[in-house]
Amino acid sequence: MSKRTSLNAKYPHALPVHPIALPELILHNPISWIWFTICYIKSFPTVSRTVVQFKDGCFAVDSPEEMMTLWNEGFFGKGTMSRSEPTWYDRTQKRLGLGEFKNLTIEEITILRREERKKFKRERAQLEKKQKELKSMGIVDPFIEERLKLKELRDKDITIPLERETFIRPEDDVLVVKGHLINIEQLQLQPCEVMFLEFALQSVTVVTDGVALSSNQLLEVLWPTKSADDSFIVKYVVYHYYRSLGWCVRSAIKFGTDFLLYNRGPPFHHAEFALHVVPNYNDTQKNTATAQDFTMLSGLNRVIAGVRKNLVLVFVDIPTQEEIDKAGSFQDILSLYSISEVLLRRWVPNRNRD
Amino acid sequence: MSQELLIETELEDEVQPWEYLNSANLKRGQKDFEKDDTQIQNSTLQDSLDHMYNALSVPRAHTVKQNVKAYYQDGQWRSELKGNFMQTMGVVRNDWCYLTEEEIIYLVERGTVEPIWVKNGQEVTMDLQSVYAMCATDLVRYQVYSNLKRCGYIVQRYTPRECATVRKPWYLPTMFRAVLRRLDILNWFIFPAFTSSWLKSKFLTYSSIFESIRLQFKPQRQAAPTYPLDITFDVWKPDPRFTKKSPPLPDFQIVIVDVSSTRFPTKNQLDDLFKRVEYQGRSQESLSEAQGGAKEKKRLKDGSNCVLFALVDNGVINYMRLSQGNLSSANVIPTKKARGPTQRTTK
Repeated sequence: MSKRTSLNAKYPHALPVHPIALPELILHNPISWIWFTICYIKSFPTVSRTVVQFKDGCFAVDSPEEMMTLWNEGFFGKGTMSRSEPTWYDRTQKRLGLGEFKNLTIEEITILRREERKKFKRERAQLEKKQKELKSMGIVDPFIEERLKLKELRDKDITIPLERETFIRPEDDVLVVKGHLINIEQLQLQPCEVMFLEFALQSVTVVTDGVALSSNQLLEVLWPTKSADDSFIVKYVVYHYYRSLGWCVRSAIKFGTDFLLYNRGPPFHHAEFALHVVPNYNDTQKNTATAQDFTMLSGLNRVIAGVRKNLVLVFVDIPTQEEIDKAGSFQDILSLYSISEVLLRRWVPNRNRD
Repeated sequence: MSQELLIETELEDEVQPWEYLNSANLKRGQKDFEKDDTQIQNSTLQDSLDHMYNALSVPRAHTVKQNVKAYYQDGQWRSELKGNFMQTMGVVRNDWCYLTEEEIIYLVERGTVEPIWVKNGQEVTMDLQSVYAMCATDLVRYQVYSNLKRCGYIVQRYTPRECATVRKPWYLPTMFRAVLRRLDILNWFIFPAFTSSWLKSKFLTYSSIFESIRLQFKPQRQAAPTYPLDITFDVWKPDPRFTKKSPPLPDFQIVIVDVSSTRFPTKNQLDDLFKRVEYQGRSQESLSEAQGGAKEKKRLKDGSNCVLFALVDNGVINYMRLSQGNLSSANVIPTKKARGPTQRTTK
């Protein structure tokens, strides 16, 4: 099974709302037509519902199953004790020698990769030292074979260890109750993610102090000012727009900007685009006053290009405050905004000549 | 040295490899002059130095016959009609080649022409300094001009062309696909998004779900910018067939910006530029329908209607490429329908 098909099998759902599944339609078999029609009429999209707790300004999911649902079906949120996918439970079980042996988590893969890389660098340093010695004697580089070996070492994939090393710390007593590890990790969601799941997909229930919030109450919490250029609403327009195009949108604070766009999701592809949200006002004076700075953008671009992504300036046209106040529903408010993209990258004369 | 083979690094500003000065194939090198005090390295360094001094020690001169004179008269620079530079520079009128300010400074700097000031019928030979004093009215513009020229490009002042608008031809397959989409009868039973009945819609594919929650933005405002930006130069890649009489569409168009006094353009200014920019291959960008694979990736990354900005910070130049993106045309929705048993987590 290729990597792509296995990933597709592992993550079959792009959203927590699934299209209806119909039986196969066999053209020369009328009974299958009837069955198909019945199924079509009777079935509705399935929704993986989750409960999000809102406490102290944070949105979090507690139940391990729901955490995995939100991660697997659209890659929403981030494990509070993991890099992105909530893997703390698996990792800790492995460390304590509990439960079954599971596949490696991304954090573990990264550690293994780093070790391989260190090994490679050690070997390279040794070879360079040898080379230098020979060079001082006037011999230039006879190490063709060694170099090939080194190259192989560089390109080698990690080997997955089949044995696990357990390692128990004194404070682990609190974590294990009757031989079972308790899960203390949560999946934390960004405000944009919660709003999208609630407003667009209707697949979450936001609970605060045991009371469920309605869509409008949630909006009141996230956007109390109702001002047209509030950072929440401007970012939400962008988030909703790219999500509705099918991109997986995640925070890009690690790279100094607003959003990252993944094709399908982090396990499938590296993020290709980094979005920098820029408000665009109708008022020229305000626009000129809030214009971006060339130095800042050049710097941001160097960071983004350094991690092999493409910088996209997403201009969001801001409506006037009167238009916002007049608009009724949240949907009407959203459609007052509009979006356009400008791609920015460095241009080097020496590399564009031919 | 071992890194040279192992890790492909890209270098843009390398030291001139003087030892290859006479050989035809100038190669890009690796920055590897960390001093290791070996005899080999020292002699390589010394060799390079010797080659450089040798190359520089040759007297650089031309014969009287080849000497080109450029005259400054009545606020204009004109040169005699000889020399290779004429192929790409200046405008020929009445047996003289008229040059712009940046062209004359560049030619004098290179020693290609001899500048002469004609005043009251008297001819005075000028030095570089006085040419600067007379012509460098826009130093930032000259810096960008000479940088691009020295990189081998053909550069001329921007001249607006008549924009040839290209209309997208109707493709039968796209029409067919559009009809098919309408015929996708099973997708008709979809309730409006953001209502409670939406979840009762008969979604058969993920694209129908995504499509239904897409926002309908109102048409964008198209106000003309209060301060439109100027395109300064048309730039061509080096081409021996280039004729300045009937130049082809430029390869790039460039806007010069002094970063100490200018901020990033507003969206109106950019839109206005994107509308005006004209270069080779521009009309094909929007026609490309490449879906999937490397071609689509390139199309998404390159965008359309690109314009270059030369950012100048007190003599240091950095180029920035801006273009219109169209990420909405990317094909990122999984096409596979969810078939067979699905997990029922609905409560």
